[in-house]
Order: sequence, then structure tokens, then C-alpha cells
Amino acid sequence: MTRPVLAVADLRFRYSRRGEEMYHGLDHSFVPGTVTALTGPSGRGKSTLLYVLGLLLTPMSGAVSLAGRAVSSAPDAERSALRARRFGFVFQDAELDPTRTILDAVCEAGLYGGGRPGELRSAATTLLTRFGLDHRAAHRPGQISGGQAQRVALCRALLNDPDVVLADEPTGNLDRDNANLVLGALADVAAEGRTVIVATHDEHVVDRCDEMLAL
Amino acid sequence: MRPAILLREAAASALAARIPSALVVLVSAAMCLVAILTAGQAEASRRAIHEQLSGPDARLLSMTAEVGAEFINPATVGVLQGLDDAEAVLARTPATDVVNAALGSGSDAAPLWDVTGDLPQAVTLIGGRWPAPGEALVSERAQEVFGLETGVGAVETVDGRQIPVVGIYAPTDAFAHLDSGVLGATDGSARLSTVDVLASSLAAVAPMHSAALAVLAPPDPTMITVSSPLTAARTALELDAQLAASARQLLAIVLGAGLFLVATVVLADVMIRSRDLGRRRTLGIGRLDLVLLVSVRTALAAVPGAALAAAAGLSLGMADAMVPPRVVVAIAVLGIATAFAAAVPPAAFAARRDPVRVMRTA
Repeated sequence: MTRPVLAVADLRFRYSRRGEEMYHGLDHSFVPGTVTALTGPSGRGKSTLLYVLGLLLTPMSGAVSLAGRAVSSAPDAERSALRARRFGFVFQDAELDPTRTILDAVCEAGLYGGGRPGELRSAATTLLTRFGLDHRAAHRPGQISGGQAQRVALCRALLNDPDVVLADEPTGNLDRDNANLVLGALADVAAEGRTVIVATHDEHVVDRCDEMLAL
Repeated sequence: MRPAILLREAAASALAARIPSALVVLVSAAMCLVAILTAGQAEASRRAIHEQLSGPDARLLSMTAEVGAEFINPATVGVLQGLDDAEAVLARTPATDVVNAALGSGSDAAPLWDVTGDLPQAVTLIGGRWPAPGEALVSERAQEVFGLETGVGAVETVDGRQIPVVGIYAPTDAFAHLDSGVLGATDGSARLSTVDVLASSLAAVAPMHSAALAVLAPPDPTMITVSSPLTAARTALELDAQLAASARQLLAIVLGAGLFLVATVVLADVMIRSRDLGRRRTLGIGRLDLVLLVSVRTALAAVPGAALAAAAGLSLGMADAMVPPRVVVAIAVLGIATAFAAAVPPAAFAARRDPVRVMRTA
């Protein structure tokens, strides 16, 4: 299956009118099937670019396009639907609901995309099995390790079979072994034809990526 | 989100957020209980007063024609009976004294009215049968006066006319003025002089008053005397409206206070749990779904509070027989709806917050 291309054109962003302008007309296409590292010094807008790409922030000019269609200026409802169905997010702290089970946490992304509970649970179980976490399905996030939590977050990101996976410092809180596990999983996800974009300042992570976009 | 999923997520979310949910339970319980004890009681009192003021006495129009006038007759009585707002119409002749025919003149007398109209609506038959034309019923008091132990016999007028008595009646509340006499079923030839019309409601008294006068159409207004509770009915309606407005005002104040408290709790909750809401926004929940999620979870938390208050209100109502159950249930439902409405503004505020800022700073 050919996945659509995520691209930015003449991208400029600032948080407020008086805020510092970022990206200065950035043009870039993210190639499906590759892991791209967004890197650069602190404060250059790595995470911000991730959120702009994920349609959570609207650029002051330029556009984010998916399959050639500008989507960054779409109404909030449409951008929310796109986030739910076409994008997967992995946060630095996993961000799993501490009150729900691992299985429920994985299913969460599918709920907003209009999935049926039975189908979502089945898909979530398959993903947990794929990442070696099926035995943790009934546990709570507080009962699993950081590396496992990050892999659960990846399962959640993949539940809707997204075209793009956005990961914000996904290994920032992990030791080297767990980081390698997560990076390996991201590489596998990219190998399926998805666009994977990782915001990081970690050289080790950059080395494991296929492409680098320095800000 | 699918409605069933939204409901399930809202329930799970309400259970997960124990402290805010407990606060919503407490506030909604207090709000509903206070509403039941104040506005509910006011409404119950209003209903009691309304029932008293709109009793049969307050709805009975009595019209008496001048002697010799013929506009109260079986035909006009029939038209009055056909009016939509006429609950009962009974026309009668002037009273004449009758005695027990078996005892003859000189024995104790009671008044006799020949009547036509809605006799079964005006009196209750408590013995014997309904009279055919030329027969009569006696009231319980007249039965005692005549010494008619079985309620069957005959009465005799001063001019020697004998009328068979075939039963005993008790007047309904509106026709209590007939409780001491004898009601003869007229054959249509009797000279009717008075017609009583019972309006179906307090609000129908005024239109019935006008309609009855139009039907009878006395050639000269001085030929008819009308005894009408019109002023009393108007006063009763005004008082009823004032009491209802007062009860509504009280209810609005109580619910308004509850709404403010629930909104404060929900606002604090969405501020504290902003990361949870930010995560949901990032994962793709729409603003409307987020508002619904927060509002429904607040309403769900209000359900046990409202139910507790309703149970307390019902037990109090049963003890005092004051607050009608449907008022209690209505207030409980209103309490839940209020909790839902109270959650909308803070939920909308949460949905408008920038999820990126929330995720990075909360």
C-alpha cells in the first residue's frame, strides 16, 4: 500500500504576535517508509514542528499538506478527525491514562476515530502481542516499566493504522536498552510504509534514523 | 464518538475522578434536597391552595329567573348541558313543602324541588334507583325527617299530589344546598326557576358565566339573578399564578446556586486534569465530543446525588403527605439537567485550550 506524503511548504510559525518566528519558510517532504529525526539545539522548535505537523498548531504562513492537500488550515473538527485516523502520537512520558488498563489505554485512540469497541480491543490485543506486551493487557500503567509504557504508547499510536507517526523525544526517559527497543519498533513501523518523524536531541537516536532534518 | 462509547467513556471517567465526582454527588444531592424542601414544598402548598380555591363551590354558577319568566326551560338547560366547560347542569323549580304521604299533613315537612338536567352528576344515589318522571329521591336528612326507614314510600304536597319515593341521595359537594330535601324528576311541564351550572375548572368560570347568560338570554337583565364566584375565581387564579411564579423563582434560585457550585467543581476538575484532556485532544477527540464527555460525566455523577435527594424527598413527602412524588422526581431530573448544563461552560473552556501548551506546561 502506498502511503500519502506529508509535506510542509514555506512554513513559518510563531506562538504569539511578538514571539520569535520559527522555520523561516521551511520546505520539506517526509518520505513514507523512513524515520526522520527532527533535531537541533533546544528552543529551535523541534517539538513545536511535530505539533504543527500533527495539526495541533496552525502555522502563521505556509502549509502542512497530506497527500498533496493542505490540511493545516482546515477547521478544527476536520483536523481532529485527521489526527484520530491518519496520525499516531507518541509522547515523551507515554501519557497513558493511569486509571485505565493497558488494553483500554491502547484502545483510546480508536474511540475518537469512531471505531467499534470489539474491533478496537481485537486490534489492540494484536498490537500488544506484536510488541510482547499481551501479558500486560490487564495491568495499569503504574504497574509496567517506562520502556513498556513507551511501547504501549506506540501500540496506541498504531491502532488506527495511521499514515504518519509523530514521536516527541520517545526515548527521553528510557535507558539505552529500552530506547533501542522503542527505536527498533519505530523502524519496524516505518518499514511498513509509514512516515515516522521523531523529535530528538539525542545523537544516538539521530544515528538510528534514516533521515535528519536539522532546525 | 459513538454515543454508546461516549457514555461508557464518561462513566469510566467519572469513576476514575473520584473526588470531583464525589463533590458533584454532594452538590447535586444538596441542590435537589434544598429544591425539594423549599420550591417543592412551595409547589405542594400552591397545589393544596389551588385545590381548595378551585373546589366545586368556587365553580358553581346559580341563575334564578324572575317569577313568571320562562327562559329557564328544558330546551335552554339542554343547550347549557352541551357546553364544553359545563361539568354538571341542574335546573329546579322553586321549593314546595312535602310531607310523608303515610303520615299526612301536620307531620314534619321538607322542601321538594322538581329537577331536570345532570342529576347523576349532582347527587350520588346511595339507595334505591334513579327516579323516572313523576318519581322522587329523598336526601338522607329528609329520610330522617319523614321516617322513611328504607327510603321507599311517597311524599305528598300541600295540594295533595302524591309522589313515589324510589331512592335516597347524597348531594355532591357543589350541590350541597340540596341536602335537606326531596328531588322530583320533572316530566317537562314544571316551571323551572333556577339553574345551577358547575364549570369544569376555575379558568372556565368566567367564560361559562358569559355563555350561560347568552344561552338563557333574558329579555331584560333585571329578570335574572346570578350568583357567581367570578370574583373569587379571578382572585384564586391570580393567587395561583403568584404562588406558581414564587415557587418557580425559588426553584430557579436554588438551581442557580447549584449550577454555580457544580460549574466551579467542574472548572477545578478540568484545570487539574488538563493533561488528561490535552492527551485526548492530541489523540483526536473533537471539541464538541470533549464538551459532551465532560458534561455527560458530570451529569452521570449527579445521578446518584439526585437519586439520594429524591429518596429523601419522597420519604419526607410520604411522612408529611406534602410534596407530590412527581414533583420530587421532576426536581431530581432538573437537578441532573442542571449539572449537565453547569459543566458545559468549563468543558467548553477546556476544549478551547491549546492542547500543546497544556501538554507541555501542565
